[in-house]
Amino acid sequence: MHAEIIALLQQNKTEPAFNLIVKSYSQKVYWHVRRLVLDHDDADDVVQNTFIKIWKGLPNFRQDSAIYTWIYRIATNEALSFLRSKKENTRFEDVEYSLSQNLEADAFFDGDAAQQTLQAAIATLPEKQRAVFNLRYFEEMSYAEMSAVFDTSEGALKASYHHAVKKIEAFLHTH
Amino acid sequence: MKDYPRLENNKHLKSNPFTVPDAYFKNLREGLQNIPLEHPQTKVRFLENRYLRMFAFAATLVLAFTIGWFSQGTPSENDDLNNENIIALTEGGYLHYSDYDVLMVLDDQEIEALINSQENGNTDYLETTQPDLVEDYYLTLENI
Repeated sequence: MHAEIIALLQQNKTEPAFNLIVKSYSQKVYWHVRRLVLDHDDADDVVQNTFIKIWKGLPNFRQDSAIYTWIYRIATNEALSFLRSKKENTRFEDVEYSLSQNLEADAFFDGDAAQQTLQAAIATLPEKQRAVFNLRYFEEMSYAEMSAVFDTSEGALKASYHHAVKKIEAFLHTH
Repeated sequence: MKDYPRLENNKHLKSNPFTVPDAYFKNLREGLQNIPLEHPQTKVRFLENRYLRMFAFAATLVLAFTIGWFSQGTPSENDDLNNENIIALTEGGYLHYSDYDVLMVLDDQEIEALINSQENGNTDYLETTQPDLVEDYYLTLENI
């Protein structure tokens, strides 16, 4: 898929390349964003902004890097920016934790108590560590790919993930 | 010690508990694929910000009000500057004569009369120099 998109970009066929990206990655991007922002409507907004940025950045995409990690990098930045702006515009100090507490009443959340507690535990992590944990735990992304997404060394990401697992297990132990 | 689930290799915890509305991904794909058609790459996001939108609206109102204010009641450049217009402009505060301008159009006798009138506490130059003209003017007013 990457080669096909790159081939279209090399022929300056930006719009077909973008349509192929949407077809291939919109669902994956949505789930990645949804796990970070938790609410469906928020995720929908962030995904649309993400793809607008992808569309705008496509002509300048450096074709030496993987389009997959480039897209995830944009989506992660958009989701974390969204959470930061939401924090600035709300009275609640811990937006993520309050969002995770609202999951029980969320019409688009089918998880049981254990899954809800897991989301509450993830919400206690610092935002970048949360993104690292989600990509590794739920999407099983390799550290090499995550290194390109976060522009961070693989060693640092392994340490971050290890600490995240320990924190979450400790949270589950006490809740 | 309370038994708690281990994270690694826990298929239940790894499964996706989130759901989406019916046909959401189909609609999402269609909507996203229309982005290039609806919005060119130079999409202006300036007015997407609520505060900038409010500021732009307020600035437009102020500009419209200012233009309206300065254009009302002033004759255009093509209007003849006859005596009536000059009097109207002077009374409206749009024209101001300096002492120099007044003195340039008066002869010696008129200047002397003007000085005398001010010394006598009379500040109306026309009333002093041309009382007949002033009287004729007041007689033409309907309310008198």
